[in-house]
Amino acid sequence: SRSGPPSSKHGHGGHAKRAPPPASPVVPVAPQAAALVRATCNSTAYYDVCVSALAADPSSTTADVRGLSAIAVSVAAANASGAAQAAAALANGTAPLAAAAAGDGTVQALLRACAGKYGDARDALAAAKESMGQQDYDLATVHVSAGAEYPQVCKALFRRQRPGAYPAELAAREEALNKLCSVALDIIALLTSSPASNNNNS
Amino acid sequence: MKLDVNALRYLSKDDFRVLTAVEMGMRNHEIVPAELVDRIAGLKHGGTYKVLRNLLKNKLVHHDATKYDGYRLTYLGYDFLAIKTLVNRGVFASVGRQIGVGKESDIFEVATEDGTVLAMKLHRLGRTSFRAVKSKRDYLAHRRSFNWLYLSRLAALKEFAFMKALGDHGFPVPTAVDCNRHCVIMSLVQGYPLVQVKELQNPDDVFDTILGLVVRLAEHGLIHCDFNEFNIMIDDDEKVTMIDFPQMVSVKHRNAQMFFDRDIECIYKFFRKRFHLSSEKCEEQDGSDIDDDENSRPSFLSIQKAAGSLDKELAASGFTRKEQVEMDKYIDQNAEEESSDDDSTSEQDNEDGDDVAVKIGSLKIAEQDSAEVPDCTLASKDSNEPETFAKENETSTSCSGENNSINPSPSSNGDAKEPTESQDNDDSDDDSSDDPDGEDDDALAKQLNKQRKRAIAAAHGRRRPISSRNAYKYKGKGTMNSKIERQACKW
Repeated sequence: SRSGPPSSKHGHGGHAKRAPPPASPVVPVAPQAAALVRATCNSTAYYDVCVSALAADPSSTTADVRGLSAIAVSVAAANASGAAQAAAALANGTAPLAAAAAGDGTVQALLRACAGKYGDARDALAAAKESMGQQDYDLATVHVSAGAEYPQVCKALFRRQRPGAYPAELAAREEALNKLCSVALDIIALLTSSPASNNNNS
Repeated sequence: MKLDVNALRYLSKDDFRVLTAVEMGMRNHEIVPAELVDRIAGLKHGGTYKVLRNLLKNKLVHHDATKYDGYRLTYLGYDFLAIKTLVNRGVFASVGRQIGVGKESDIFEVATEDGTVLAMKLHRLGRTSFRAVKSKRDYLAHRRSFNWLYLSRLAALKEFAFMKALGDHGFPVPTAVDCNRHCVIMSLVQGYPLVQVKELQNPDDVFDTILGLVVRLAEHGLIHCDFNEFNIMIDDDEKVTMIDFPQMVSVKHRNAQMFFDRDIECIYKFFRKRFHLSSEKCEEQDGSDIDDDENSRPSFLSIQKAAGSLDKELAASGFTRKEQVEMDKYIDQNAEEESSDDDSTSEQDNEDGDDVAVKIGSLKIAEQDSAEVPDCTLASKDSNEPETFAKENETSTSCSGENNSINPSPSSNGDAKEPTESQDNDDSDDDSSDDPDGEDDDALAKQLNKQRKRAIAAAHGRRRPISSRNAYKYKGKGTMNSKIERQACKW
């Protein structure tokens, strides 16, 4: 699909999430398109996250605001999917840092629950994409909000049962997903705020 | 009762936004904290709380402040979410009369923009089977996020997937149109449930056709597990249609042979009693030693199985292994319970057939009363229908009893008139007192039914909508003969 390779690339390059776009891009970007991305990201709470997320998808150079919102949701969905796989890997002991969980059945159970929660987040974000396809932005907003909410259960479960065992990797992924969902919500809000008197830039 | 899709127009986008937020929250909470609903819905200036009050007023959500300020969807709330989604997709445009009430579902006519009439089936596992599941404490212990919405959704997903796959393989089932949440849209089947049919022009042919379906299903790797006169429709031309398959399992299931034999036995018993087929046709014992004997019963072990073709179809339909595993956890509970009930029924049957027949009738009346208690305006009709249904059951097979045994429910008081029925009701009351949870669940089901009606009335702006509802009654078009017509009038 369109967002497949770019999302996958974005998923692997975790450190690149917060890096600013290169000063001299290999492929020249139309000034007008770049301006739209910057203007759109200016309305979000996490400008840098927004720019890097959108830049990872080549179609962002030709997309309008609606297209950018779809890209943002797709990036968030891919991130959730990656987190689900990471949690499953930790639970199965196939991840490099799984040694800490070895022998602790409770931690393994918690990690499996986390994989399920990130899976729910992925499904919710997929539902958001479907709603956006039907231009039902109200419903899309609810699904993205839910997508950001489900991983919170993972953190809560660890906090209650194994406070010190919450994997740093999952903590980082949770923060990243939360920000990506926030970005997606802010961009969707631009679509739902009509040219009328409502001003949502806050 | 009429579920008017126009009622949806009274709800705003914010209403559906909050309804969806409650639904999302129920993934992790049986009762969703109000704060969480607000966070997911994302409305500004306290809008969520205003909407929640409106939804509560229309009985689309249930409020529970026992531990914290929390909410969950009601039956009607879930109905509206599914219906709105399907209407938005253009699957249908309006909802018409209710044409069926099952143990675990309600069925309505719906119409498309061009006037085509379809059937909408709303799965409601929580209405009766929840009680059975609730009694399995171990099951609940392993399912913290258990709720009836989830199970109803799985049931609908499974039915849709199977309906589509079976249809593609030429089985006589309704045409699968669409599915959302706990709602399945399918073609409208003409005719009557076989249980309502008193006479057939060609009972032998119908018998052979139905038996052939059981065998063909097994050849395609499936056992129906609940193949009886309630799940078979027949029209004026005596064309047979399978209309319900909630418990279908693979031939690889550990109890596959038992289920297969039971399905066969149900058909034999029903046709022997209802249509008096000859003893040669419906012999009591298996003739498995003589495979070529036309009168011998089908043998599970001799079934020539097709190699996994339906598995591929089901995978393509979206009913994945994950969903099957989830369903198996639930179905296995029922399977074990059914096995136990079968033994009990068998013992009673050996002792005194008449008593068994009476008890079966009473159980049916109890279930029917439970389903219809909210319909206060039909009080006069209710006093007649139980008796009619009791008579119907007197000529039915024990398969009906088995159906009741699968999902027993406490009886309601006040409708019993005959001394025998009264005694049976007393027994049911004793059962209720022994299982407080079951009683609560039954009360919950009644309350939810009332809530649905009030919500619709509120949406209409009227005190009470006109409603008509009959348990297990399907209204088909046309008649087979005068006797059938008179029978239909009774319903």
